[in-house]
Amino acid sequence: MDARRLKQVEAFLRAGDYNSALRWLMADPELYNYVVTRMINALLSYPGGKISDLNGNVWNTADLAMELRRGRWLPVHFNFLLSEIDMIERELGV
Amino acid sequence: MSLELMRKWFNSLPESEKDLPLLHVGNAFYTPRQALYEVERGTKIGEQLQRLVEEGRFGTDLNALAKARLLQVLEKTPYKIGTLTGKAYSPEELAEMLKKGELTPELKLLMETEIELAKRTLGLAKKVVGGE
Repeated sequence: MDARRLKQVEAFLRAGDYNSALRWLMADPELYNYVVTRMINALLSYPGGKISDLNGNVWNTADLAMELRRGRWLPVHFNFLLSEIDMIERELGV
Repeated sequence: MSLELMRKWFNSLPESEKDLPLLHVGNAFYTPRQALYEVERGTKIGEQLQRLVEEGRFGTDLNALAKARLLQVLEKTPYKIGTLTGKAYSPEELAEMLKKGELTPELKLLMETEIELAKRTLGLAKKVVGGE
């Protein structure tokens, strides 16, 4: 697992540069698949099963998981990406 | 506020409030249940949510919060909502009007109610800390 790449993705996310975060993550397909799989699992069991955004959308988290599986990223996904990266970094001890 | 106090705050909330949007971080609103979950997982988003609770802030303006809450409430409302003018709106109609920003007096009233409930929910955190 490329911890440095994860740190860089996290830095882009914190700066609100989602395009660069995604591009950086996608450059390592193995890491991308691992992170996305974890995100899908997290979304499928997320408490309450719904999440809202500022645009007036109310998302079923299971639908968000399906969108991700199709490769479609929505702004709300980046919150989940950040949380999952946190978890992975903690597990890696970095 | 420690994790224990977050749990205490969550447990002090009415069931109807536990799954309604309350706090905004990044691109999403979080319900008290989701906020507690993120804090328990120890994520950075959890840290930000905990800070909002401690500081008694929602992380967004009140109208945006009221809109997010009301849209979820309307999703679960099974009946039409009558008005003093005699017109009755279906929850779907009201949600559509809300999304378009067509705020009728009835919608404004419903939003004000959500703001009051959200303030009360967040206000309970102070009581929990006060009773430490």
